Amino acid sequence: MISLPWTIYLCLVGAALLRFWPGRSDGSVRAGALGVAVGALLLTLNAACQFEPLPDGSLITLTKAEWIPAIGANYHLAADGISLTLVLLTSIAATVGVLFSWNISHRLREFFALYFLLLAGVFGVFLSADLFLLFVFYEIAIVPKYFLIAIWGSTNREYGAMKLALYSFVGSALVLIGLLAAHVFTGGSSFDLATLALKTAPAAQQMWIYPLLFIGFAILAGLWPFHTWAPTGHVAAPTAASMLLAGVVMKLGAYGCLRVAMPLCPDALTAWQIPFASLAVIGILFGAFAAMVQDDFKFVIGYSSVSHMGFAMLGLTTLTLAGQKGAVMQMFSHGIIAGLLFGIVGRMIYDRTHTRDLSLLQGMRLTRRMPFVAGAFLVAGLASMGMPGFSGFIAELSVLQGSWKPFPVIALLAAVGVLLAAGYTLRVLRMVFFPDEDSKGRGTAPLDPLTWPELTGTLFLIAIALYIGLQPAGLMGWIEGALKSPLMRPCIGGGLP
Amino acid sequence: MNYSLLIQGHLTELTLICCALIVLIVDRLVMVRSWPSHRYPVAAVLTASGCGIAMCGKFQADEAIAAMTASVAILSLGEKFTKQVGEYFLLLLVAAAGLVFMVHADDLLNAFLGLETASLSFYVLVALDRKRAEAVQAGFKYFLYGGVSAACLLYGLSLIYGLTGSLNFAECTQAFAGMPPSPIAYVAAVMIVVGFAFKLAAAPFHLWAPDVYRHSATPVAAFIASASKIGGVYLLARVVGAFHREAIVPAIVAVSVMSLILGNLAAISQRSLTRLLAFSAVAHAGYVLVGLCGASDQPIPMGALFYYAVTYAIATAGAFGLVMVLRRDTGSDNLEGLNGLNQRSPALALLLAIFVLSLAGIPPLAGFFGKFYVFASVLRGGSSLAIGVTSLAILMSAVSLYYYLQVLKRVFVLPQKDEAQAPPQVSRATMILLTALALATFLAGLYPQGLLRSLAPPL
Repeated sequence: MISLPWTIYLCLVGAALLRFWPGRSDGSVRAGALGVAVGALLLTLNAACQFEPLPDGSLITLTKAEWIPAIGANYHLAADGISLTLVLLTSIAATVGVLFSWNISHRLREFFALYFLLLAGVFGVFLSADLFLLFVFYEIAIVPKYFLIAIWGSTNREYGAMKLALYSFVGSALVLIGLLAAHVFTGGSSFDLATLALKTAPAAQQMWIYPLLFIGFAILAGLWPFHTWAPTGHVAAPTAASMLLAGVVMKLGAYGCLRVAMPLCPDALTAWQIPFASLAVIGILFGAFAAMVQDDFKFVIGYSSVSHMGFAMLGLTTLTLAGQKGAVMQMFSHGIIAGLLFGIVGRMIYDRTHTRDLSLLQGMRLTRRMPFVAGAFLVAGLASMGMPGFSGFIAELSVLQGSWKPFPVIALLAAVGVLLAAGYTLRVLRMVFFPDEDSKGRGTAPLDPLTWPELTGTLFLIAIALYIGLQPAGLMGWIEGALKSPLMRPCIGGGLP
Repeated sequence: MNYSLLIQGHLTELTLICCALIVLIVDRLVMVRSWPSHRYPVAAVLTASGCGIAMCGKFQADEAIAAMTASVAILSLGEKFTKQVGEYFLLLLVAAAGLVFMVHADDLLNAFLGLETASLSFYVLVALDRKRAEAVQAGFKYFLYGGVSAACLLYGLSLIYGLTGSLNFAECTQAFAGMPPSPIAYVAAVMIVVGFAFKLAAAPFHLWAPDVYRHSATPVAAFIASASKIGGVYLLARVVGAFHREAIVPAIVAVSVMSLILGNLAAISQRSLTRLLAFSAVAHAGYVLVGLCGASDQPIPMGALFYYAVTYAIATAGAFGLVMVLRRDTGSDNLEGLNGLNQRSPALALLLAIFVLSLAGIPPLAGFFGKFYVFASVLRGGSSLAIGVTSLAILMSAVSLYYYLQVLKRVFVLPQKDEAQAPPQVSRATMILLTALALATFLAGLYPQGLLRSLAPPL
């Protein structure tokens, strides 16, 4: 466990090293980046193997030091089953992201420096137990995202990057107002998560603090109607950045809702339950319908992310154990599957065909020219539509199960979303990989063969999606243990400890 | 009267004045005749070391002012805009001495005298570059606005004297403590806030700032934007602390809200880096004033405001250092000149990024903690007015990210205009200074307690 904070430091040191990496060869920079990412993954796996949750499942302190006594902020890192799950996801996405950016050669050193700076922020958010520290890491993650998209992106990159940065910053402004209010109304002496959750602001104040915190974080999770940054941002971003955006950055938002907004305002949860659940389910349906009519392959995946994150948000609002469990599971699962889909579309297809237009791809006979890609997309598509055997199935099932009791109508609508997911996935699958025989074949020239990093990354992600789908008990056990801890008990409908 | 005590109390000012005289004498009597080409370095080194001596002791507002003066003196080496070297450094030091005197003053009239000493030096400094008509015009504009603001402030002070019979801070605080807010107190409050709003470039009294920032020599603009802000914020906080809080808070809220909105929105459309910094200064004046909007039973958050002013001054001085580099490189301060700076000089690009992101309030840079601490301290009083103003300030800081990122977009994203452009020329002294300022911004943000601990609030 004690190795977890080193993921942050490793990423920071890695970012600095890679920025000033000597020599002219790009290969060594890539190898170095892969080394840092794999290092972070090994640190996480080491921690995961040693992980022994406390009997009540609460956060295990990893580091704690006095930082700014003037406002009562400490440098306090801690982890429980939920943070560990998301740290694991982050280090997996980091490793695969490096593999999928193997073809980048434009300003390579800066690319990896910003990449690992972003990751350091993400690891930091997942491991912070002090809300000031959490907010600092949350903001550290914003600026690198902007540059990753604006410099290395494709379609409309400057627009997409600025939109993403401003949405994130407005979200974090709302969070900051909420945090300061929670800090002040609990006596203004501490930012410690456990302390603030124990004291809590007066119920009347919680009623407005909660929506500020929840919406502020949910903007980054792509909650409808604040999701519009997500499709444009994902489309504009270079492959590795869209993998990180969909894979981990959107999870920052959902994690913030679960870890900060809900424990801080236990008395306001039920009052806001229906409004937020409605927004989540609208997001599920809207994302799915929007994905069904896109012409750009990456927009399909972008909107499907909005839809899938809707499930995570819906799970959070159920306030039941099953729903919350499903929500965290969905964060993990969507991180893996969306990463896979963006890798296939952005790296394997777009970098070779130079188009993402579905009607153009239709005539390219990709199945015959890139059978592996077709197979991989088929598997990823099945996983994305929630096929049993993949991680997405368990997550969405658990969310639906949890939401049935508090709001059956919303649960039914969300279930329609699962069907729609099958619809848009099959649509792109048919258009791109299995078009009608009579469509004019245009591309016959051989495409560049797939390279080993792409193959490794793809197989790695598929293996994880399958493994978690078949063996969910381990991960579910971590999540369940953490959800039953005194800190999180209000979120699963239990009373205050 | 015990003169040794008097000297001890004003040691910093005396050091600065003596240093000013030494600089003038050395420059006029020795340097002009013997080594004319070395006038700038010698005067700058003398000024900086004078400020260095003045900085001995606990790091408080006066030391911060001396430190910023030393930075500006070093910065002046990069832009030798005038032949009146001795006079230029003399004016810098006299202005610094005025600011320090103002900070030390225990009495409103003394503080006013210090403020005017500094302001008069500023007017001359801005217009010192006589050959450029814009500089003279900016100086004249600044003088007119400054004169009006001084009149307002003095009128406000006279009303305070009428209400309390004293101009001593402590006595005023006591006299106002039990007094119900009278119409005269409101008039005085408005006059004082108007006077300070001019000095701090808060909207709607900011009109001099864009011209002065743009047309005065870069080091002078850096000086006005940094050292004078520290002194101004410090004095305003003390005056508000001594004044009738209920009467003055509405006026402060009004000016703060206007500055936040106008500064941030107007900065978006600027095409010159100096004008952008001027409107960002208007916005930052708004954030500072938020710190004074707290409930009336709450102490003034002196530590938070001081931290904010100092870190803002450091980041702004650094940004003006880059304005100077940009001006030498392209001959103007247009933002286009920054295009592709990262390809030509990654080090300068990184420095600019640190200063700009600190102004934008991105952690772990000092600007973030400054804002955070000011907001947190104001909210502690729990008044709903403070919650409203703070929320507006936080949301407007999200807007501000847009124009700060526009600057960084030019530096890091856009390609440079012509490929063969040489990297900008930067002297070693400027580079060391900018690096030191950037390090200070970074470290103060990473470990704010260090700077906070040094300030024992005098209130």
